[in-house]
Amino acid sequence: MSAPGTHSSISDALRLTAEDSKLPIVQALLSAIDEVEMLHQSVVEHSSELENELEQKNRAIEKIMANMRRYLSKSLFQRISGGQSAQAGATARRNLTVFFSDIVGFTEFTDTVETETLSLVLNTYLGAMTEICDRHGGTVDKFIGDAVMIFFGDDEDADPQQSARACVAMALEMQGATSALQAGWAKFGTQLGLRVRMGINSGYCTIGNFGSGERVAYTIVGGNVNVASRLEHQSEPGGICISGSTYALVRDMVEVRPMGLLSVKGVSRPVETFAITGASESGLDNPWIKLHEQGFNLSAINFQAGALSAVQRQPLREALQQALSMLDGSMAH
Amino acid sequence: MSTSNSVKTQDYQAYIDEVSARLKLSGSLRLNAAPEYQPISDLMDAALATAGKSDPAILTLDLTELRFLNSSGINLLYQFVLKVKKQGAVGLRVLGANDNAWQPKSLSNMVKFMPTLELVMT
Repeated sequence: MSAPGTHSSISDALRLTAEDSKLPIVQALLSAIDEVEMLHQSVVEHSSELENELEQKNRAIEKIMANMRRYLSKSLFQRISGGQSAQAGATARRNLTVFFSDIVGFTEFTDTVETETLSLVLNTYLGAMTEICDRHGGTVDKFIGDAVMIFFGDDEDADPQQSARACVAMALEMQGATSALQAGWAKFGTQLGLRVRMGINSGYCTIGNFGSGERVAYTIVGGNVNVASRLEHQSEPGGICISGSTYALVRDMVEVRPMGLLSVKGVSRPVETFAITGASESGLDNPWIKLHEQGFNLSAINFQAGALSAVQRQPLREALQQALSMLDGSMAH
Repeated sequence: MSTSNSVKTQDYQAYIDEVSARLKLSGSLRLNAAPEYQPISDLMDAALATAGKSDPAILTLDLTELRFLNSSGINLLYQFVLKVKKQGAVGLRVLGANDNAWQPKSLSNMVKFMPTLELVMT
């Protein structure tokens, strides 16, 4: 089909002729040209409609992608967006730091409170943990009830030391945040408060899509994952238990107490374990104190001796010290 | 898979309901050019022949479930409407759905080709 301009100049010429001759052939040509023009115009309108809709959809997709990028690890985002469809079986070996946590006595807690309270407590807790995890660049692998599984370092160019340090910083901040959350939970009747155990291990794991053809999960497997899980179970309530391989990467960040050797089924050598007793340098967000222009807000503190672990006491102590020094400072003026 | 009164692929489906003289197209029609549309074109002719024998001689084109139709496809459809108009023996009733983004505009344009065409949008 040629350009519509051609049609109209031909049809104009024909029309002039037609005035006089009224030849049937001229009439037939004229109506054929009219048809072609109408056809052309309507098809173009149809195409434009489709193009515009396509453009609109593209914009919507771009917006979704931008949102997804914020929530997912770089590696997972690339997997989803780069056409590498989630097929079961696509895996890689990566040097990761793996984190497990769960709430001590959560099962008993579930039996003693109303469902509504339970879901409120669990959602505020998991929400706070996810927010901290995102901020430190971790990937939440899964929630199993109150338990959380997170890993660091699935990006191809990830630095294992960076992953371990980000993970330990996250865990310290989580313990601090958990004790601050306790104040809110106390009114739901948890006498001693809920306390969280955490375990961290670093090492090579297999990462990828596991599952059936219909349903796959982007997750990690391997002996080092099991070690992290076992360390979590070894941890004292409110504490963080890390392996020797993680400790080697965060030595200057934390103070620890050696906890001996741990044998894990399927892992050939016993694992050295350490309990973190505090952070050497705390550049973390302190959940107890929020600074503002005129001063600070302290979270409500309901202190019960024995309810807070050493790791949890540290940010509280730091918050109080900061509050005191600010009070002293303002008196000097 | 193709029999005399239906064409079916993974993307689209076309079949003639001979009792009600109805041709239903559904799915997503995005074939590349006229030759690829030949099976659909043949089916349209068959539907037209069926409608010609029925009383009243009206062919219903049900496009309510045709989610997508590319330019080659709309061209085919318009040409078909022109053919029906020229033959003059059969009336046309077209069923569309506003949910299919392309239909309100492109189906109302169809009336320009055949002013007696009855367009029913839902």
